[in-house]
Amino acid sequence: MFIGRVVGTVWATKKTESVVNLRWLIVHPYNLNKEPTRDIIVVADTIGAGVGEDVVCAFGRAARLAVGNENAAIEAAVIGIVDRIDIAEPWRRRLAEQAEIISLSEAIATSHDNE
Amino acid sequence: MRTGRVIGEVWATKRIPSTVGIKWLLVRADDGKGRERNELWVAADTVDAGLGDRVVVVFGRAARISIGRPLAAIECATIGVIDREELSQEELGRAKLPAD
Repeated sequence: MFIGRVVGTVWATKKTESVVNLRWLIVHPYNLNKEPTRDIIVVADTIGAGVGEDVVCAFGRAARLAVGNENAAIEAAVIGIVDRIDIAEPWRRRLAEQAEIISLSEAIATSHDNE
Repeated sequence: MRTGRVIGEVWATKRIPSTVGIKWLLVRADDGKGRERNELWVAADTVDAGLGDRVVVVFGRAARISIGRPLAAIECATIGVIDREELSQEELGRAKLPAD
């Protein structure tokens, strides 16, 4: 699973049958990799996450189990809306130093200390 | 399976029902020698791993089995806390992994 911030919504009218009732979000993963292919992920959402929220997402069969349809043609889905991320020192500081993604540095700045 | 270090915890109240009651850890991947890699995982905790512990992480169905819920919407879990690790001299002498 990965954690990311919802940065947008995708609408599509013409969809494959198994995904007709699904809502799609664009999520920017909290990942320190700079590979462009991982920069944005389209995920199915059934729990009502909104733009600006942090979410935990799952890939593969876990995603299909999350939307309650094992035959849906999806491979990523929201499985939880994040209330809080606790990152302990010294990793928090190290991550902040290395973070390239603005949303990640924001999240670290607002995360609570965990002694 | 991969290794990584538990660097934090993720809290979520609103979740897919099949994941309720599962503790989520934020794990940063390492290269097997304790050096950090630029990957972050959210892993379900099955071994009560604590902050700073090095852990073995599994993915996919193995993760669902390890938490004892084969149909939960989970695809990553910690299955062991590493006490000790031995690597060959050759491996220890190797440069960083190419992907880094």
